[in-house]
Amino acid sequence: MKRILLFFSFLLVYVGVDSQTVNQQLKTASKMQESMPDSCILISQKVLTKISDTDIKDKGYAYWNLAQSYLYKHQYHTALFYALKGNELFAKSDTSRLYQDIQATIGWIYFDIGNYQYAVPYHQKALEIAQLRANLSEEVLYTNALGLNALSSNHYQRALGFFQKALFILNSSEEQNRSLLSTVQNNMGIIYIHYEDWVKAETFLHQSLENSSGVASGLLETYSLLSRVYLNTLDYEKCKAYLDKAENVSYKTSYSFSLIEYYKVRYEYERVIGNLKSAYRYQNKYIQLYKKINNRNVQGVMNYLIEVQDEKIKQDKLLIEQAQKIALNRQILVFVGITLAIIVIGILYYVFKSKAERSLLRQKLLKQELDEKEELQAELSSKLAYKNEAIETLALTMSKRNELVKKVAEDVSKSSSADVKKAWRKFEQAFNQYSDSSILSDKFIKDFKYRVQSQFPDLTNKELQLLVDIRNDLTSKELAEKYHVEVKSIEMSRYRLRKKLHLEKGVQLKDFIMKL
Amino acid sequence: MKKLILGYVITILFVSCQEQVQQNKGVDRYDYPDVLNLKGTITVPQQYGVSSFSDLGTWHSFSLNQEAENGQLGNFAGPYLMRQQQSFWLSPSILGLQIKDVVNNEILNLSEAENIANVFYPGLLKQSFELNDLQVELYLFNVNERSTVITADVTNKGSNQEVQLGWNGSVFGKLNASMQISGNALQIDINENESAQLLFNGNNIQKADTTYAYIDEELQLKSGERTTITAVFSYTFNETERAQYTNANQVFIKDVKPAYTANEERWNKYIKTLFQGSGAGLLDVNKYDKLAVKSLLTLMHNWRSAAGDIYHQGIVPSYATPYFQGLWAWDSWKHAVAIAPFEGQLAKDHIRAMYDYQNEEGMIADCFFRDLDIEGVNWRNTKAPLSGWCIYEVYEQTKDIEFLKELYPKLLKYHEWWYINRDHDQNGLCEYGSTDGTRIAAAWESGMDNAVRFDEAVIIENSKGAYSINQESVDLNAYLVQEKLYIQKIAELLNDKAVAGKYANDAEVLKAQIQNVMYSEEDGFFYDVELKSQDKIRIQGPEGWAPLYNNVATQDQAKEVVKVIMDASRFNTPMPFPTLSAAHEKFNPQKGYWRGPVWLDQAYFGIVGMNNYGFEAEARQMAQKMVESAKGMAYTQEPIRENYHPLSKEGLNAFHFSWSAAHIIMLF
Repeated sequence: MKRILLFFSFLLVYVGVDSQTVNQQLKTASKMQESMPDSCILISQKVLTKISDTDIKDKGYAYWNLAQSYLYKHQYHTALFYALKGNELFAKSDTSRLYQDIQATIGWIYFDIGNYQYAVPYHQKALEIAQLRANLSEEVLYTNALGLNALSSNHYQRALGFFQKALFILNSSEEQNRSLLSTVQNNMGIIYIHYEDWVKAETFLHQSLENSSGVASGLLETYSLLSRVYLNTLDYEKCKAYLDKAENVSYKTSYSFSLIEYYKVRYEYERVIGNLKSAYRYQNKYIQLYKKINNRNVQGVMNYLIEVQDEKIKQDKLLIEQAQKIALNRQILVFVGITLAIIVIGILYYVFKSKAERSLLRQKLLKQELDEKEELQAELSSKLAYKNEAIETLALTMSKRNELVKKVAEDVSKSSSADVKKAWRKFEQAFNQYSDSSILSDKFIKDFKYRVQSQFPDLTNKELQLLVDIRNDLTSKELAEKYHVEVKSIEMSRYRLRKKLHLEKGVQLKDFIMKL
Repeated sequence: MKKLILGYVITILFVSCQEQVQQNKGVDRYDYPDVLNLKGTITVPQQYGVSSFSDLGTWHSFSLNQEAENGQLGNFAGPYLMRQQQSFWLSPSILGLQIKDVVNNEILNLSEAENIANVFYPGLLKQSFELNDLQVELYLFNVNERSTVITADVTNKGSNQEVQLGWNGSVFGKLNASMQISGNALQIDINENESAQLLFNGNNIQKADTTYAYIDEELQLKSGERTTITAVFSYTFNETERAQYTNANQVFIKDVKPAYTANEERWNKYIKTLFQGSGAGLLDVNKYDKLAVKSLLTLMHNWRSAAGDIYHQGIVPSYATPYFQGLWAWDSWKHAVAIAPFEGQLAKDHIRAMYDYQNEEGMIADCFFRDLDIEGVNWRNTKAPLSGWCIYEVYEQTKDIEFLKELYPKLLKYHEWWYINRDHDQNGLCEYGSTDGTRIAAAWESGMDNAVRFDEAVIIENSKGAYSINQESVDLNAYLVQEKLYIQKIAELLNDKAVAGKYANDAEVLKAQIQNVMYSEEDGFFYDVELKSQDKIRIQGPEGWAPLYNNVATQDQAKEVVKVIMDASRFNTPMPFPTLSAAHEKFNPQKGYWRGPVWLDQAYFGIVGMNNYGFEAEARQMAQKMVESAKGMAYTQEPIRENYHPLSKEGLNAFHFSWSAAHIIMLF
């Protein structure tokens, strides 16, 4: 039990330490977003592998770090990818600071790539969360952001509305946030410059300077804007004074939006003054920076994103169309298949039916034929049987006649009459001649041979003759006499015949032959 | 057989006639529930995107509580206080009904209620539900230009009960320090002058931090009996007003019924008037009935009473867009014409409000606001001359000759002002310009802020405080012809024959001048011309059909212009009438403002222009195409927009935009 407790407490401590380090690492990374974006990316990505899917907070934090770092590196695709990934983690009703930051980051990404319309809903959401969290300075920050979106979309009136609202919020709060105030006042100055309302522009820009926190980029912008006001109101002395101030701070910042504004006013001023050499120099600087900012790369990102989105929509449409087509095709296919199957079955049914009918008919016919044949055969066999009987009877009569002849011969031999003996010899000769010839009719023999041959096709003529002889009731002795051979060789012939007729033991050859 | 057919035909005729009669007869506001989606949840003071309801020109509005269906009952969302860029939601819900079961000493949990309905009818928000044998019906409507009544009817459908009714609510954090109770009123200070106030029918009010509660007396509610509890919310701009409305609103607390009946009658009359159409009838009001109601509601919700630096009531471009909570010259003329058949007094006052800001020279300011400390008057430019049209049309609806007498000299002065201050070479063709010598204000004067035709314009001085751009605009001069004819009509009505004759004559001269100088035979279109050279600035925009709308073109010229309008590659885009020919390289339908997006006023001018010259079929076709194609316009609860994308047809910029609504109404 103690061991288990120990194990669990150890586990708890381990988990605690681990999660703490993840969070700490993320915090450390977040501080490097702008200054060392690569390190921030490295740490965040490393940490990301340690975070489980369920730990939404840390995961979101890591994604936000990545998005911000890539934003500072001007790699907008990647920044947007991570920011949107972070965004997905949270419920729309989330009110955490992190969710707010992610919303704002997405807004700034869209803003930086020039798609101000897309930035609006995200800045709006960030503003809403800031309001719910009752964080006044963030509320002002995002109201100002919305103003910048409108300003960049050339919706000056709407932009002015947002800046005025930002001022209203700042003024109605007790806490002072002078640097924010300065920023908003500077932006009001931009609007009034656009409206060519020089008095209001001058007022707000001076107020902005009064509240400035002294950050070079902000100062440069305000100085430049002020000199633009004086340039337009033809107050060249003041214009020059602010341009000189701008020149001094211009070396302390690389913020391109401020610099470009400065170069532009400067070159216009120098041109008006007639200092063409200097004008040319600043115009050059302006053009170079303009190209850098408005390079196709950055502009292209937006187009690319839109293209990608359009492409995706197109593809989705295509997929849907294809799916619909496939579904339709499948339906057609199924329909065609079913139709075909029905047709095939129909044909088959018809074919089989007629075939069956025909075979039935043929069978009937065959049977009829068979019956007729059987009838014929029966008739034939009964005829045969009758003839056989007749023959047998004849044979019997003949053997009795032979015995009678023998008896007569014995009697004749006992008689001494030469005439009788002579007459007897003549009779015996005639009789023998007659008995040599077969007692079976030629027709019977022909039929018999035909039948036997068709049953046993490999019988030789000699063997056939033997068969006929046996059928003719000739004994082996008689056969030996007839053919002038030994009885033994007749016996051999009988044996071979038995074999050829495939007779089993115990079956009399004569009986078998008689049944053939 | 013949008899059979005849009988059949007669039956069909009879049946169709009957249907027709029914259609027109039964229409009242209860036929149009939730024409706009006014549901929302207010979680922060700067809540964005929730549409709201107001009436009679109050500077505050209420919405339906989105969560009512989920059991958050007994209240409406808001109010939203309209304070230009400083607008905010005062409360998620300022007045919530409380019902206490006295016998069991417990407050009923309204989330257990059944048969819930939460509906917006024209002029009224209504909620009803049933709980514990009690049938509750909650109404919210406006009773005067500062005040809203919320009243609950509670009917006992079961056995005798003892109940106690009350209200409670809260305001957003920042204002907690400034709640104070006096008598039956709870006052919430907005700033040193402005305050919101709740009025109850008793003194039993308690407050703590950001919340308050009011409890009425216990009462026996017998079976079948009904009781009513009423509270009044008002938003006033100074102490005098607050006292005045505290006093005036006591009557509603005592008996709210007459106010409710008046509200119902007034709104049913609006709906009836709406379905009578305006005469032009280029759109079928019965087919687009919801759109018609939505358009009327848009104007009504933008109705703002006289307050602060606005001396007469009027209609603002959009309550939902803080910087549009003021009055603009161009917009106002259109609003007043559209609203005149419904609220003649409002239409007349709307015109007066603009002439309140006519300076000594005769010029009318571009725009001004209730609180000029937040945003000042724009005296840098005026707007296109449509006020003669407006005054005459409003007179036609109201037949108030005194009104004509009052405005006539002012109108003359304003008309003449153009020829003194905006005709650089005194050739009778005027230019847009500014008072401060800026080109941008001159472009604003045209109303088409960033139109391409002004890109190359140069500003020149006419006299001190009067500048023109170096081009004579065709729309401006076409409007001036029409205005001369309206002045002639008014002069005749007022028996000023000398003026009538002169203006009729001047109109003919100017008309011929436009026909000769500004029409390009080659292109079949009207253009602005350069001041000295009279070279045409050949950029095709809606100004090109202004001569048709104002009956300035010849029939042959009109025929050619109609061809250009009907060209699918130029103005007959999927959503027709873009503000720049779609074939122009600077055509930017998404961000262009006046370089592509469709504005319904210009579309209206095009449609009516075509109709003026006998192209009625084309006019009807385009009117229908416009309302059918604009996304969310005809068949959804979506608000009417400031402008529309000519290709994707999607709504752009501000929501609930008055002049879009005004011109739709004029087409019926």
